[in-house]
Amino acid sequence: MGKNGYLLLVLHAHLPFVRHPEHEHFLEEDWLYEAITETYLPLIDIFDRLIDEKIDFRMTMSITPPLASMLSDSLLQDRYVRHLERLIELAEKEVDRTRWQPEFNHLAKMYLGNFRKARGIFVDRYQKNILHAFKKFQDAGKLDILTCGATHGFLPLMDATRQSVRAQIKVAADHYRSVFGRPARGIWLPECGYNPGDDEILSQNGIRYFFLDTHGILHGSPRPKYGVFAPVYCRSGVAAFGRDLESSKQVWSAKEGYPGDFFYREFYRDIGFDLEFDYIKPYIHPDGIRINTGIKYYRITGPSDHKEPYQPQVAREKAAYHAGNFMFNRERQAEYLHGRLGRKPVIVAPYDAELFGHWWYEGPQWLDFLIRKISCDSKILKLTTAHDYLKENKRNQVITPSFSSWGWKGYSEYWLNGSNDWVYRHFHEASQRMGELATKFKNANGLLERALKQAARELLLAESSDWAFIMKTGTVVEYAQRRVKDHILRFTRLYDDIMNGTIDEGWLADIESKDNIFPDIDYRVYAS
Amino acid sequence: MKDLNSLSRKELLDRAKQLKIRMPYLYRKNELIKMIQKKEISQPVVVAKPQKAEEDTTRLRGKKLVEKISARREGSGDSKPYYEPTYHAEAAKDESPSRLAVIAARRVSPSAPKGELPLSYEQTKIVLMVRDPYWAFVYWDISTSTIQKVTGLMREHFGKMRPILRVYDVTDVDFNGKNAHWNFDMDVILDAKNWYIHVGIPNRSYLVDLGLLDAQNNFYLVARSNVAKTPRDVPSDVVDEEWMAVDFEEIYALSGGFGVGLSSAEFKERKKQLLEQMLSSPGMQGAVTSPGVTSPGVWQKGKRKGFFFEVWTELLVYGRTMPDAKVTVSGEKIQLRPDGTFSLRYFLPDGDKNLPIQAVSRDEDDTRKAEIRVKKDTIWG
Repeated sequence: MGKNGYLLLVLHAHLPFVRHPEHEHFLEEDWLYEAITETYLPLIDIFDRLIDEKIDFRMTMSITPPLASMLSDSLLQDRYVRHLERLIELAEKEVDRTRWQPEFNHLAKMYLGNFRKARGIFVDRYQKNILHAFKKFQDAGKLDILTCGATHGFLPLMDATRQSVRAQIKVAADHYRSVFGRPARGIWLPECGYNPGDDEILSQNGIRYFFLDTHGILHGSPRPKYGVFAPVYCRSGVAAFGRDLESSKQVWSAKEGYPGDFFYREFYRDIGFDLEFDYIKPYIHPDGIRINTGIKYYRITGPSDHKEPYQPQVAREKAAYHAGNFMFNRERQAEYLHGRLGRKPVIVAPYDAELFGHWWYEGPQWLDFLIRKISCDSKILKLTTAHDYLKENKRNQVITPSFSSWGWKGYSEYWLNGSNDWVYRHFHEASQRMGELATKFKNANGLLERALKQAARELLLAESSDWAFIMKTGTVVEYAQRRVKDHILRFTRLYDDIMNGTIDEGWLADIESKDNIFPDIDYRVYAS
Repeated sequence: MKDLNSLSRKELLDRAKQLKIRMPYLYRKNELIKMIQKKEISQPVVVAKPQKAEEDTTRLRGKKLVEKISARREGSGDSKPYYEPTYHAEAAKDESPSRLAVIAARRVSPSAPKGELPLSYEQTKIVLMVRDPYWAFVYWDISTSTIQKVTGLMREHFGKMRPILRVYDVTDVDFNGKNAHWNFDMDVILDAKNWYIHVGIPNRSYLVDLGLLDAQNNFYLVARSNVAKTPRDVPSDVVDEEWMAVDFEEIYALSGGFGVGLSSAEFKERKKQLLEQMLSSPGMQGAVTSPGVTSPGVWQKGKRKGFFFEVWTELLVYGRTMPDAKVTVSGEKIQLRPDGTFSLRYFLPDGDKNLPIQAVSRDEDDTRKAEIRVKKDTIWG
């Protein structure tokens, strides 16, 4: 292996648990459907083809427990198929509508082809459960699947209630084993939020490595000899990998990043907003709320409102060029660092998975080109996973990393500010009460056990960092607030009912059917 | 009431003192319990969970609810901190685009507002959380009985007693109330129930007392927080001798430690600053700027905090012609109703929208055109 360094690509796939059987159509469920069509299925298609063509690659992906739960939920699977059928119908109409507009007609046909292919992969190849696909890639040794906090709870703000941190990790690890048939080796900490000592809990759950933002490593103590270009061991023996900012910036940054290229597809010009109301009405929300359909005909073109039609071939060439550029930059970086450090650097490049395909339409193509180029051409870089790297490089420095996150400003502020700070008093109180319940009723069974499990589910669902995140972004604030309140109210009623010995089975069954995440949850994790 | 029996005599005495039972040590245990029960029942309880208040008091066992301790205001005069009220607004500048994009341009599914969360859990406590290297956050809850005592005290010493947060630096100290490295006070509004505190110094452990301060500098403790530590904002001072051979500043720079989005000239300048800072005293302002990322600005326009307000516009175009005429809008044929009327509805974003409309008679002899030009601006105030 004469190579100079490693590239560790990580995609963080996550969506909050949104499932509303009580509504026939629920806008926020579309987040999942869009991500399946635009991100997860294209990635699966790429990995399947790489394996078919016997290209040896290494990728890392976190699939969070809420996302995995939704992907394996039959109600949501069926609703996704319904959603996809309607998209196919719309695309068919579009092919017809645009038949005298050659600049759009080929795009309508492209979307129609994509949606039909999506149906083929989702329904025919994987029988509506695409977790089987990811599991297959992992079992083939190509993909390293990370777990995450059970509901993507931001751990540093749970520091006052350690039983909640414990539960976020243990419930996730248990769930991972049941879904992927093996113990979780690595974790993507929600929002990379880390507080010194959290690694002890990872260690107790058999987790061997996690990822941090750059300053989490750089500001660790003692100073990390190799910066972020080698993992460090915490005193618990769990390894931490730090994010490389340079490779992040090339993909993330609006100004310098690839996704802003004028030939790439424009996200904001969707026919759900562009077309006449009566025509598009059957494909938007039944209440007449316009939504993104995923069919978009324009390219970014430039900073003004003027937009030119999208040209997929040109965009594809751009994606290939950008993949080459990314590889070139990483190679120079690896060569330089190798000489400077005297050790092969590992360059950790993590991204939100939903950036690829959903936001950056050409992202999956870019990734495909990049993987192929590195696997087949690069004499300098080797794709790796944290697991493989640690197997080859056992000796690493021991430091205590610093409290950090990959959020805005690098710490907790995005999840702790005037828009969302009110949630924590309720989370902490519920967490303490859950600890009290679990300690008091260690050997529950029957109805009591069901109520205790449901209480743990409600607490976990409330703790999802997405709600605080949405309150801060200001997008669907009411929904996020409602979710926090509903889960805490359900929890509180369960707590009171359990304490008073007055569990209402009918009501319990109702919320069990709605908030049905983690069927086998071990509520005893909260016991002290 | 059941757990009063399980309390030790000392705990019962403490409880009795809190309830202002005079000379409680004169009574036997069962008498004490009766007196306490009587007192507690006579306390008005707002939230219908009296048993909670009691349990919470036992949870705080060993910590007196209102405790008079001698006040020493070391250093608090010149280190007056500023405060950040909870409604302090700061626009988000940089955030990762994809998750946002997933939820961008959306409206909320209709769901009827249901229950609200309690304003208080009827317990007296204060919890400290760290926001970043310089800022911390506390929230507190005060039980009805304690708030009565507190307001009673404030009435008694009207205008001379004020609620404060006393912030202690307890780094590497097992805090006993007197051995903090230093402390400072800040005035608060009790009803705010939370506060942002500019603690100012990274890599230190803090603890916060909520209490009342009278004109003689006597401090009456209401609740004491947990300990929490701010993170470092610069590289650690701890350098293993063995590692010193490596030029850490350069590795730090290569790792991106000088911040995101800087040009090479800025980069050099920044590096120089950092080196100077590293040579000067620890605890200086750090060189690492936020490692957040920049995102396209489009969705940020309508962004508001907490409170929710969105305005959408649609353009309605309608008209009438011969039922057998051919009408196109932007070059696309539209369907006429049997009586020759039509009605179309378009999403109307900010900016210019042009809709050329054309009607052609069936024999194609006659053509009429109209172009709708709409310019729409939204002025957000």
